[in-house]
Amino acid sequence: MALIIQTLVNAISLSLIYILFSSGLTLIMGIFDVCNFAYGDFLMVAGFVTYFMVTKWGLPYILAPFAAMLLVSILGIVFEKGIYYPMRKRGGLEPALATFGASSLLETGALLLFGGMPKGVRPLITGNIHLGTTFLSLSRIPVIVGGLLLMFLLFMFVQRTRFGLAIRALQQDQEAASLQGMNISNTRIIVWVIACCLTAAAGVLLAPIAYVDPFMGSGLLLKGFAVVIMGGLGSIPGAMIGGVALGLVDSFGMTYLGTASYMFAFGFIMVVLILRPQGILGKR
Amino acid sequence: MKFSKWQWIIPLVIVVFLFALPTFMHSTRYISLFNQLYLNIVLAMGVYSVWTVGYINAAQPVFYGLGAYTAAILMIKAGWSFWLALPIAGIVPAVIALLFGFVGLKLKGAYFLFLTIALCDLIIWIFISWKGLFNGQIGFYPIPQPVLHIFGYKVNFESSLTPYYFLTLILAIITCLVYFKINGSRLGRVWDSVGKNEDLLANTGISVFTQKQISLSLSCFFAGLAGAIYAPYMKVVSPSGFSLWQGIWIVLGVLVGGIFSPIGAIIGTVFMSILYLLLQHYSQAQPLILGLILVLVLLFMPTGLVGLPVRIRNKIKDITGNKAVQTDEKKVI
Repeated sequence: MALIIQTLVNAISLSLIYILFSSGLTLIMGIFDVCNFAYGDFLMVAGFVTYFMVTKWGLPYILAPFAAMLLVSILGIVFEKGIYYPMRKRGGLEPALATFGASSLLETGALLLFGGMPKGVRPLITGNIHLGTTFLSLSRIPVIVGGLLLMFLLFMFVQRTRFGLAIRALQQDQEAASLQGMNISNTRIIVWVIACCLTAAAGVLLAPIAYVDPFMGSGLLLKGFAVVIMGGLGSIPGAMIGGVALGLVDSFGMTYLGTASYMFAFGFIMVVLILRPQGILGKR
Repeated sequence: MKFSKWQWIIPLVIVVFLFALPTFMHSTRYISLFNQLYLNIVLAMGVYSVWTVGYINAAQPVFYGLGAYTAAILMIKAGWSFWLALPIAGIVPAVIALLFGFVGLKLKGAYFLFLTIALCDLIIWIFISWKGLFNGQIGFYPIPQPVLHIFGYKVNFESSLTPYYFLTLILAIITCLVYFKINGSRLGRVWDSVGKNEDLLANTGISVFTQKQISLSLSCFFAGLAGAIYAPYMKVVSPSGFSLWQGIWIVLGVLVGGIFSPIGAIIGTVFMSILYLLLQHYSQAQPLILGLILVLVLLFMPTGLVGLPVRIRNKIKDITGNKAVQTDEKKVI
């Protein structure tokens, strides 16, 4: 029983990370219709920002999200201006390959600059709670609180503001949106900034409960893709359902099955794809 | 692709030259480089042909590994001869690709790429974890050598690499011939249109999904054959021999050569092999350089090395004020 509760708490915090990460991914992929293979490295950059600010320079943890969001947003705008916009008329495959190249650039760059050793970040709240035989780590609290808060903000932004409306319009039809007098290139940048903020937040929240290393993002990226494909492309509610599902499968699989859980997650995606190729909440 | 009256001479001269090469090139190092190049060309042709139907298969080395494992298991555990194991080693990856295609090929191109990346990890993980069949990290060593008698002489596979040179060369030539033939035939045009406009083709009554399946399975069949030769050639088959990065090198080769013609795949693979030699001692920085090449080629050289002459000619004509020749990717060569 104790193990189940511990795993459940882990699953919740992991799910929130997955949800934050993959809602940004689904936003980008839904609007630009291009896979972004460098998205995981945005998270890695945020992780390194956290590491440098908190561990190296001793700044308070609260500042890390803002710095990370700023830096990662700049990186995202570089991607938009350098890869996505120039290659927007060339189908989905070639820009996706270009982001793959950019991803290996960022990863190897980080590896050469900072080394491959995993680095730790001190959590905001340390200590454990004992509930009978159950140990719950308090370091999960910022993840759960921050994750829920950001999800709420994202939901309000997309559903209740003019920018959110613009994003949803862009998702349906870029040309029609442009004919209505929308400024497409500005809206594209807004989409990038939102998605980058989400992944930066995921990176900052993940850094204390996991390790920071150059490849932390690429492992998560495959899971992010899995969530996006499972939940349906461009659907944020779908990403939430997919994130929770994968978080549960991952945590319980890791606890009870060991490394075989990787195959389990892969099999899960395959089954979803066979039954519903457009994803759980996707539209054809 | 159609050869005019004299054009077939060039490939013939190259092939004759390559067949004669071992007579005056005795260095084992160079022979093994060429062997690896020929095997890579086989893989690259497969990646190219799947690319024409709109998919990038980064898991090609894993299908190659499946071929190698099939051959090794059949030869060691079942005691089959190499020549009997060779076709089976092609068929097994082809069937697995067929099964994978039932799910993967229903997705769009970029998601397929993601799924092949995941498949790469998955299959290598199976190689390591399924100790009963694949022998875990150790793999198989030593692999029995093929036995071949030509006119009563026994070919020396044991101590010389030259027989493997001919074996890999013949496989590469057969693969290239098959793909060039397909490229000029109706099937090649169908595949090309699958990549260009799937919906339109589906309206003419052709099953797009079947075409994609055929293309993927055929490419994995050849990859499996290459793997079957790799197994006795390296004498060892282990999970560390096959990785995603190998697949990225091959995809990059096809891209650098030019994705509009099978010749591009060959030229690109040769180019990447040379690059690999140059970068051999900087293994840490390799992904950095590969990533840089990938981005730069995609942004500034979309037609690859093969399309470069036409692009340069057009640029010159642009500058001198003449009207540029219409660039049709198919007519580049």
